[in-house]
Amino acid sequence: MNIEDDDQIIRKCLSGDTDSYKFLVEKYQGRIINTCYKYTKNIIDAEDVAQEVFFKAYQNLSSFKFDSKFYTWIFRIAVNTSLNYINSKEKRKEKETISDESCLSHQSLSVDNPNEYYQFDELVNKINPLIDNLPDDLKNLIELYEIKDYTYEQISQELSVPIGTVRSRLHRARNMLISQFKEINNDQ
Amino acid sequence: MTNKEYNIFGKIISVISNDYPPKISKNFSDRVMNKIYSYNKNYRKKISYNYLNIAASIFFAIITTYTLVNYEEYNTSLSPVISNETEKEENNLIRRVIDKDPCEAIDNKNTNENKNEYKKCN
Repeated sequence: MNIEDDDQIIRKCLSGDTDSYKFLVEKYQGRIINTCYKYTKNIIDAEDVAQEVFFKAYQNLSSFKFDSKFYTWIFRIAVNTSLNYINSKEKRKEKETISDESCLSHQSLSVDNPNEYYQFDELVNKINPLIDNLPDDLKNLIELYEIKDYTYEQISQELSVPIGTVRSRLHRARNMLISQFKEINNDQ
Repeated sequence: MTNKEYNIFGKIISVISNDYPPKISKNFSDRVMNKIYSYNKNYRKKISYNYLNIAASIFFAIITTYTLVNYEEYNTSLSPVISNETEKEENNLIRRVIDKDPCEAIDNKNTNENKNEYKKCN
């Protein structure tokens, strides 16, 4: 099991390996859909906007500068796309009245098929103990790299450890989390 | 690392960062990838159509140039014949005018008029 860095995956995509892009989608779908959800206030719309975000990111992947993190870049796309969506929705509202009936039927689709969704409330209960079980140094590393968007160099300076050590520890932390999640959740 | 492992890791990151929606479609990534695949397919099709259009344009340009050049040659080969004919016609006209003596015509006219006057007097 080897989790590749985003930069490696992007380089693969740019060299023609489109399938690799799915790794990025799988990795960031939760955070991007949530960003869109904050604007749209509707999970179905949020997914539609997020789909557009990932598509736009793919189209403009060649313009990605490797000096920033992929998530920082796609987050900006998500915010802009969500704002555009809200603006266009408001314009549409001005032009036409949306019937309540159609909205209700749209909503009911999402409620009627719970098996088609990952419910995050359940996932949080499963994942939190895994994070708590992780050694503090590894937890700290994951937070710095994945959440606070630090680079290897920055983490190396912050923790006063060689870059190689940072890489190997991150690798270990990811693998531990994934394998533990698999153990407690065999059906996933 | 498979898709499933990235999926799990994505969920873990979302939970650690406390940045997750209430729920996500299980087929979300598939939908995104399908859109990308169809975009790539159309993009390739578009490129091949563009090449085809360029090739067709070049082909028709060559055909048009060839036709125009040949038409020009055809015109230049016909032009002396046409000019000879008009020249002939012009020559005939001139000859006819020359052959006709204008004095004779005036004389004829005068004699006719005189005859008419003589008849009136009688």
